[in-house]
Amino acid sequence: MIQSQEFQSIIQAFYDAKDEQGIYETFDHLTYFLGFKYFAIGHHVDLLNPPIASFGISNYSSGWLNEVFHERYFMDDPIHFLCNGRHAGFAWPESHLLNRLNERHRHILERGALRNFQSGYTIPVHLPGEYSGSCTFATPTSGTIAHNVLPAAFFAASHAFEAIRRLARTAAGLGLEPPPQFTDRQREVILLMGQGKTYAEMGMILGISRETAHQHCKLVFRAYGNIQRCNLIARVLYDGIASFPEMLRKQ
Amino acid sequence: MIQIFEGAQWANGLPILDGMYRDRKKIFVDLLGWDVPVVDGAYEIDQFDDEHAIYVVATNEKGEHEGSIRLLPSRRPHVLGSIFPELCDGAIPVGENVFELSRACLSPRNRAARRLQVRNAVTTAVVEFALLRGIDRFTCIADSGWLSQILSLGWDCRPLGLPREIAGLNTGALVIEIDSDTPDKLRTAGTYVPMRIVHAHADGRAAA
Repeated sequence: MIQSQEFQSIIQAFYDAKDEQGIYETFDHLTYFLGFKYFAIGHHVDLLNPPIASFGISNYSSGWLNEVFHERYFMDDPIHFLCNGRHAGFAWPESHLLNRLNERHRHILERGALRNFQSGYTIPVHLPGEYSGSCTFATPTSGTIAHNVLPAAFFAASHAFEAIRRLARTAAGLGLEPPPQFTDRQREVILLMGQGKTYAEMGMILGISRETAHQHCKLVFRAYGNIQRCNLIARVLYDGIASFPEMLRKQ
Repeated sequence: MIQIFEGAQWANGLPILDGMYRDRKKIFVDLLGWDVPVVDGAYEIDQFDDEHAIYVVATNEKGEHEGSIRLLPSRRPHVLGSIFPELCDGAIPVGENVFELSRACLSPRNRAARRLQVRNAVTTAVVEFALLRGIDRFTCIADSGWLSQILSLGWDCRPLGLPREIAGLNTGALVIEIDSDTPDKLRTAGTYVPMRIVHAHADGRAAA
């Protein structure tokens, strides 16, 4: 049975950590405390070209990390794939999860098992408007995860993610820009742009002139710093201003 | 706009609170499947929605409920003390200046971007209200669906004990410390929303 006081002091240590080294040492402690051997925490991004304020920390062996980078496993990470669309943590390998993986995913999972990642527990982190991330704890032996520690693992990992996120944001000098606000009419033209309509078609659909439709679109582009049309579609989907069903529905 | 209501009322000519109880039913009962009481088939109202409950409520320009949260005084029965005391490994924080946050609810009619704005506005209002009233600690119960968002708001948030699996979800108790630095912490996290808070009187008329 794990001790509540130690659990609470580990979480405090994450927030007290001043740099990556402090985080790493606390994570080592936490991983041992929970009965695992390996940890990795970070954003699901292109590791060879990481975006600003993203982070990744692990105690994986350099041999495995070399293979991950060299073979570009991170682009098809099976564990990251299983994080999509879920908030709850999950233990692996479990057959109902493995069924969702493709051949490349399975290959990476098998390579990991050869490198001593036999089983583990992963906590997804999805924050609105930010890159998805996760925290994984793993063991070199199969079937040894103590399920009663998983709630503590989930909470500790979530606190750790937040503590690292704050350090990374501060280091990047980032005050997160809120997305622009749009009027109902501007949202209508955004959806029509997403549906590939021309200004003339937008005018017909909305019962306004082509010129007026163009003016509404120009205000939208300007709100995003004169963004290009294709890039706009990606941004409004990312910022939650429009959704895929709205964009993809038939007129 | 953000309004503060002190004391629960329903089916009594307060459309804003009625809208809140209706949205709470849609979220907690219909969507999340919580086993909580439903009044008149439409309102999620439990034993803690009484004259001591305080509600921080966001409304749109039509006066419709957009998001809300409930504050319960810790000296009276509250969710952590009465239902989930096992989530707290030491003494349950209780005191004149300690309140519990529960039933955080965002209108399902809004899109993601607007829900985020409302979430930040309600959080800011909770912090400003606490500073106004001398509240220095909030307790709350978080499950895996909300935990990351609660932590990412920027305030100081620590566990009160070991989390447990409850109804299939990892669930734990948290304490949130509030002091004069908290608004700046929200600003750093990008969640502070400058606003005017309106105190709604018991008869439902809002006054500045």
